[in-house]
Amino acid sequence: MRRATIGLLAWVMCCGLWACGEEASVKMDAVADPEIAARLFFRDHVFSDPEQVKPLFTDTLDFKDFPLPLMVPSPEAYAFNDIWRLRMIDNRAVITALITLNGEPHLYDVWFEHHRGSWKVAGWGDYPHPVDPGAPAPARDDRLPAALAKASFRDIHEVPSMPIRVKARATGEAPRRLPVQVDLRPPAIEGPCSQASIKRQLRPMSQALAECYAKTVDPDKGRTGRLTMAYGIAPGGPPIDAEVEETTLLATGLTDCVTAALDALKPLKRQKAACTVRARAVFRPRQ
Amino acid sequence: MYTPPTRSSRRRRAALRWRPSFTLSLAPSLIFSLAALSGCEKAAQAPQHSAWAKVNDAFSVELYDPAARQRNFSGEALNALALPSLVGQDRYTFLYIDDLRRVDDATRRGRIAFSVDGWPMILGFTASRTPEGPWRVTDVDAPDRQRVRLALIGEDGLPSAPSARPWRGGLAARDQVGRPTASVLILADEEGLEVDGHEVPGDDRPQQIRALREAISLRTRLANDAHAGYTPQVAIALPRRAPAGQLPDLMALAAEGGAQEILLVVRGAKGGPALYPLGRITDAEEEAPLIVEAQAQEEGLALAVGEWQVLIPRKGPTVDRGKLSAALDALSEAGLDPVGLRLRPWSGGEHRHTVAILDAVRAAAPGLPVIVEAGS
Repeated sequence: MRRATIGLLAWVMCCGLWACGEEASVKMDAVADPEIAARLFFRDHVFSDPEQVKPLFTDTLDFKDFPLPLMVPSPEAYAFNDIWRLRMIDNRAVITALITLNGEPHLYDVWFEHHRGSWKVAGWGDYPHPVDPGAPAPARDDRLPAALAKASFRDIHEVPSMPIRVKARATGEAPRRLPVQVDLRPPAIEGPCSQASIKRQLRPMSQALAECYAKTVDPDKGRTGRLTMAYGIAPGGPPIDAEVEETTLLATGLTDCVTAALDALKPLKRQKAACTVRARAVFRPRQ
Repeated sequence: MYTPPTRSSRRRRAALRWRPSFTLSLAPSLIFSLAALSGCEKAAQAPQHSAWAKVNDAFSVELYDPAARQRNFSGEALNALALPSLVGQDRYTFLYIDDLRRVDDATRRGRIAFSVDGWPMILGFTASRTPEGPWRVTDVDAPDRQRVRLALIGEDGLPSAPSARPWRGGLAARDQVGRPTASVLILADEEGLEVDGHEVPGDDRPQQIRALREAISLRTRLANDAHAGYTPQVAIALPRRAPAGQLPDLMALAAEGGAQEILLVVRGAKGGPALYPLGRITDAEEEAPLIVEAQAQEEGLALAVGEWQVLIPRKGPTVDRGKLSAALDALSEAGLDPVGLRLRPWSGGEHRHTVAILDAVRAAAPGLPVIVEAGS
């Protein structure tokens, strides 16, 4: 009876302490928590010895390709500020980190996969995006890494080829007065596209750029600035490879908003050859 | 005089000695053991250090535990949290944290994804760090909004169309693991209008069009990045009691927003998410060669191809399927082989009537594409 009691007591204590130790170890290295795993990675391991960080990457990745260390002249020019955004997509944690590169705040995407009980780096974005550190919160942006998007386009529902007629609709709404005036300069065109057709195609961009400014730039700051955008034209198709080449307006979401507006431009249906368009816009806040 | 103890008396005395010492030594051990276990339990219950972990726990394993809810949610958030009372634990599945965005050092805002009866859904939240350190959920979407969204997937919500094809999407244009669906989602109900799960002012058509263009542009870029062929698609979700005229109006909106293909979100055979294709957008001057013009009305469904006309009588919310089937057979026997049927919804009817007719036509003539005329 006595021995049984002692044995039971010892067993209970051992089990208890073992369970406690297990919990403690999980909490210590936080392997189950992608946010903590990401914080540790961005804070402590970006400049670690490549051989040491190898276990932090999935087997399919070459950890030596991780680009952040190559973007600054020395580790001192890099700083991790915070996790800006965390999304779970396809069982991966897509982390947008707020970092400082050469004194400038940037956002950078790295995604992590859960492998055998710990979160490992499974991919990263092409390049960091400059960000306005004064922005109150990350802008809504549903863009996600291409590697995670492929499955979205499998098994797409087929739609009958029968045409739906759309009756004309008179909207009659007056354009909204926006807090900025956009001066869109004549575009520079490489290739056999006519200036007139490109100007016609770009006509909605003044309004779209003003909308983007109103949506992403803090109106109280009333900032003047410029932006150079570029896109390609494939024969008969929609604009391709739209991008913002440079801008003096650092605002979260501005680049994405402008590229989305460029993507939405109407295709030049009769265009037979490819060309590249580059256009500059100047923003002047209304008084 | 000392008498050496016998073996039996020694054993008895030893037992007598041992009993008090056993009691004394057991007590601290037991206390230590319990303390160790209770301390461990506290450690297990101790708030995790990250906002992600807190939100994850609050909406997954601990959502249906009242004590844990008290710990994980502030009073205001608890008052607003209608989900556990609206949906039983057996119907609820936590999926993932869709989004967790930094607002400031002590605040995060985002959305969690969960599924009810196979429908992926979204709930907005705010998490804040209390002065003592741990994170708590301090705000969630308004209870009415939760009620309306959950009602949509019930029998009085979206219309049912058993012939529609199952869909892996849901009411936030995400699948069960958080990937965007190929179709941009327009959801219109008494709470307003949403594009891809984000609210858009119901009376601001230009902004609705912009939201749609952005959402379509996102899909186009994703498809380009993934080297996938893609035609811009929009799926429309409307409650069954919505006026029938709202569907053509939203189809016109989708067309203005850049959609080239339109689908309808319905409750499928088992009540789960399903899609019903409605057709491709084209310019008004393009015409299909031979098409059945179908006008839904109070008396039933009037079909017409040139001179040929017939009225299929109403039967409940739909039409008499036997007579519809016979009419379409008669059309073929008359040498008229239409490529499809274009339906104009009954202006005085509800959305459920339109869907019931779509379902009836599909059942009567599975190979005959049916489209709905867009525009109001």
